[in-house]
This record gives sequence, C-alpha cells and structure tokens, in this order.
Amino acid sequence: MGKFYCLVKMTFLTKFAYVKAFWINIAGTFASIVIYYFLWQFVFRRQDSLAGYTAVQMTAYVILSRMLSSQFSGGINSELSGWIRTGKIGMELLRPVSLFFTLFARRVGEFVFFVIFKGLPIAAVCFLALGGAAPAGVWNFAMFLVSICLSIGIMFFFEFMVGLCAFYTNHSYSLAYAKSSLLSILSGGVVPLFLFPEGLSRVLDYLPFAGMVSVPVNIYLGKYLPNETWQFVGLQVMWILILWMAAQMFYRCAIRRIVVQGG
Amino acid sequence: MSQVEVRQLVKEYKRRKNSQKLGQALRSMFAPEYEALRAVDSVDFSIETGESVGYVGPNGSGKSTTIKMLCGILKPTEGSVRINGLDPFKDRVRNSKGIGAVFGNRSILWWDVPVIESYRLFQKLYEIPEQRFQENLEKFTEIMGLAPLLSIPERQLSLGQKMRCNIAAAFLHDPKIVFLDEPTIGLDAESKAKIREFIRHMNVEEKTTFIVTSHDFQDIESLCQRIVLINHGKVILDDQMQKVKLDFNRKKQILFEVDVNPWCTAGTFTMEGVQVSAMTPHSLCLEYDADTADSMGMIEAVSKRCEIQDITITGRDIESIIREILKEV
Repeated sequence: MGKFYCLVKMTFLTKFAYVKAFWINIAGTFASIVIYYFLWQFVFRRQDSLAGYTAVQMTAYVILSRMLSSQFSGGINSELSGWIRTGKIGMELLRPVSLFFTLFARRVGEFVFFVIFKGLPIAAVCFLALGGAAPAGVWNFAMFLVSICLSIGIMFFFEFMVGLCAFYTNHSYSLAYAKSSLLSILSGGVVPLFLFPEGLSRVLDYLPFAGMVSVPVNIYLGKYLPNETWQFVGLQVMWILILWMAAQMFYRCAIRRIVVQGG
Repeated sequence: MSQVEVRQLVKEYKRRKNSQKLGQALRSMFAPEYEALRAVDSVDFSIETGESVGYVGPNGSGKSTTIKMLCGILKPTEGSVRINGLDPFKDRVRNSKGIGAVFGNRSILWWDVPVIESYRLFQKLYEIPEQRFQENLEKFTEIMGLAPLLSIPERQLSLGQKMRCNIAAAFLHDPKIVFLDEPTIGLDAESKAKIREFIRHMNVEEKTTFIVTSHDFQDIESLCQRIVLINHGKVILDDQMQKVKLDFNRKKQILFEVDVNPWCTAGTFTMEGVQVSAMTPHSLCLEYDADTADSMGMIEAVSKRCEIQDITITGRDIESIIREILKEV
C-alpha cells in the first residue's frame, strides 16, 4: 500500500508541475458547460420538460456530464502509448512492479487530482451560478459517488487497452483523439442517451461507456428506481471485471511483441 | 550455476519494408511486407559474481538488444537467459529487484519532480530499509557529487548531472548485478571520471557484478577485466582483457630518434621479423613481432651505425586491437 500511495503522490507532484496547462483546461471545461447550458435553455424556453427532464435537472445534467467527460481528454492511454512510441516503456518495465500497478496508481492520482482541483470547484461555481437540481436524495447522492468511483475502473482498463494499441500502430495522437470523441458520445457526455433512437439508447445504457457519465448522473437525478440503481451499479462492477480480463489478455499478447524503440 | 547464463540467445525483429515507389507504398498500407532482422544470433556466455565485463561491438551489433533481454524488457525469440537463477522475462518483477540498469540515452527518474523524490519512490518500490537507504544515498552523494542536485527536478539537470543521478538510482537497492548501456555517452571528461570511479568502487567494495557497453574504450579499459566482443549479433571474442591485449599485442612499434639515419641514404635495415614502417633522415620507425624479434637486438643493431638520442616503444590499445579483429572477420 505504501508503494501505491507513493506512486499516487508522484502523479500529484507531476500534475503540479503543469499548473498553467491545468488552468487552461479548467477554462475550457467552464466554457463548454456554459455553451451547453445556453443551448438547453433555448430548448426549454418552448417546453417545460423533455423526456421527464425539467430545465433545472437538465442544467445539473450539463454541469455534471461535462465535468465528468472532461476526464476523457486525459487518462493513462496517451501516457502509455507515448511510452511505447518513444521506447520509454523499457524503463517502466525495469521497475519492480507490474505495468498495471504503476498505471493504475497514476490513474487514481489523476482522478483524485481531478476531483479536488477540478470537479469540486467547477461543480460548486456552476451550481451556484447557473442553478441546477440538487441530488434526488441522500441515498442517491451516495450512490452517485459510488458509481463515479467505479467508473474509474472502467475508464482505466479501457484506456489501458487503447494505449496498448500503440504496440501495433506506433502512434498515439489519433488513438487518443478517437478515444475521447467516442467516449464523449457513447457515455452520454455530449447529449443524454435518451436523445438517441429508442433501440440504440437501450443498447448504450448497458454498454460500459454509460457507466462513466450517464449512469452516475441519472442516479444523482433520481431517474432510476432503487432496484434499477443497484442493477446499474452491479453492471458497472461486471464491466470492470470483463474489461480487466480483456486488458490482461491483450497485455499478454502485446508484451510479447514489444520492440523497444530507439537504440 | 553462474550469476548470468545466456544460452543460444536469439532475437529477431520484424522490420516493415518501406518502399520508395508510390504504388508499392500504397499497397503496403493494407498488406505490409516485413523482413526479419536477426539482431542477436546464438549468443552464449556466462558471468560469475563480481566480474566486470565489457560488452563491445560496433553500432547495431546487438549489444543493447542483448542487454534488454537480460533486463527482461524484451522477449527472446529463442534461447534462454538466467539471471540469479531467474528467467528475466517471465519473472520480470522478481528479477528486477536483483538487478540495476542504466541506459545512457534514457532515464529511470521522474521528469518533473526533484531527484530525491524519485529516490524516495525507489526506496518504497524496492523496499529498501531506511538505514540502508540513507547509507547508500550518503555514499553515492559523496562519490559522485550529487548533493546540490537532489532538490532539482530532473528536467532542469544537465546531461552529465542526469546521468550521475540515474547511475546512483540504479545502485540504491544494492543490486547484485548492474547493466550499464553506454553510461558515459556524450559526457565530459570530469563526469566520465566520476562515473568510472563510482562503478569501480561498487565493483571492488560491494562485489557488484556489472556488464557495461560503451564505445569509449577508456571506459572499457579502466573498468573491465573481461571483454565480450559481438558483431552482427554473434560473439566473436570472449576473454580476459589482459589476455586479449597479450594475444593481439604481439606487434609493437619502436621509434628511434638518431643523429643521422644511415639507412636513409644507402641500403636498408634488415633483421628477421622486423619491418621498417617509416623513416626520415633523423628517425627510424620499426614494427616488429614481439615473439620473433626483441627490442634489445634492434637497439644494438641501430646503435652500431649511428647515435641514438631517444627510443619510444609502443604497443596498441584495446581500441585498435578491436578494430583489427573486426577487420579480420
């Protein structure tokens, strides 16, 4: 546990080294929340509710979903594919811990940093300035937090696999770009999943991506019945296990092909 | 069992063929063609505890690839490696606790944080007891002059400073064996001297085994007792440094500075096993085989005909020996 804590701390220290980049990132997230807010305000000017969402609920959805999906541009996938592309992966493999361990610690470090320095301040400012529904209940809020923590597991294994693709492509930017746009759309980070056609939105609800944005936010808003909430959270756990196994298998195949680039 | 055992080690890389022709380049986007490249070809050697081995060869001869397989970073195509009895690729995490590695063109430290923070993390990762960690840190700091560097993030260090910090990092957990791949590449004379001193110290005092690759033959000559020469992926020489020098240093040169060189105007200097390699009116340079001719005879023969003012005898350094061996094969 000491190892894990120290690796998390390292990620933290590294993040602090790039404070300026971080301010710009925060400004970008703010801007996107404001834009989406006005967009939905326009829609709700003509009607009181849309598929059961009221205007304040939609505002809460916008704030939380934009905030959560702003994580997609980061993640350990670009780190991992960068290591593979430059050959630094060799140095990482010298360390007496598994690559999963190192990267998961990084991911957790990144998440904690995100929550403290981005998630909480942005949520506080936006909810005060734009309004937005309060959580449907204490229980909902607790389950919302649980669901967000679980989403880290899903994101981690997904990012790990995307990063590993660099073993085959030797390139990282296009992978990172494809990942962040796909995740934003499929998770409900751009528009709520109910706006998709009926059949598609049903499928998306059960895919692992929904667990990153749509599920926690809908739990927060009280859109699910209690037993549905448990089912969705259980589904998240199941997806973590499935992605974990997939990532392990992918890793074992990829590591055999590893070519440490550059001398 | 030896500390390092390498048996019939082979590593093949697949390299994608890149075409100059547009048509072929387009085709290769969908059905790329590969060619196999044998970087390491049936390499065999064993290393005992406490040895210091120079692993040398021209660029692209397979040195780094071998080192990477010894570290467990690369999976061998064929053959086997045992380090402290472990298979480094299969038992990577366990193996890495017993080894240290330095790559001259890479860093194992964290780029954005002070060096000491990286060391602290190593302490945790390798589970180094606090007292041992302090002892090592103090010792390394003293030998390599790290004290002013520890509080600086790695990205603000110069190349020489970075390398010294990296080398210290590789030794913090008291590894039994350390691999140094071009540890002094691009460094100035002082940094090189400090690094050599440190490595020698660890080899003599702590009995740390090490394998070093370098193109700087001063590194090899001052650090290694044994030399393994590799070319095109194959080991072509594996012997004690002293023996290599003796075996290949049969040919020596002797330079006479004389008042007047009599052979310059008439006749030639003849003696068995001796060739004249250069001559001026005031000097004579002879090349001879140390087995068949002796320098005393030559000095006598020359002194009969003229007055000798100075004599220089030179053998060859390991660099020119290696160059010659590589030319022969």
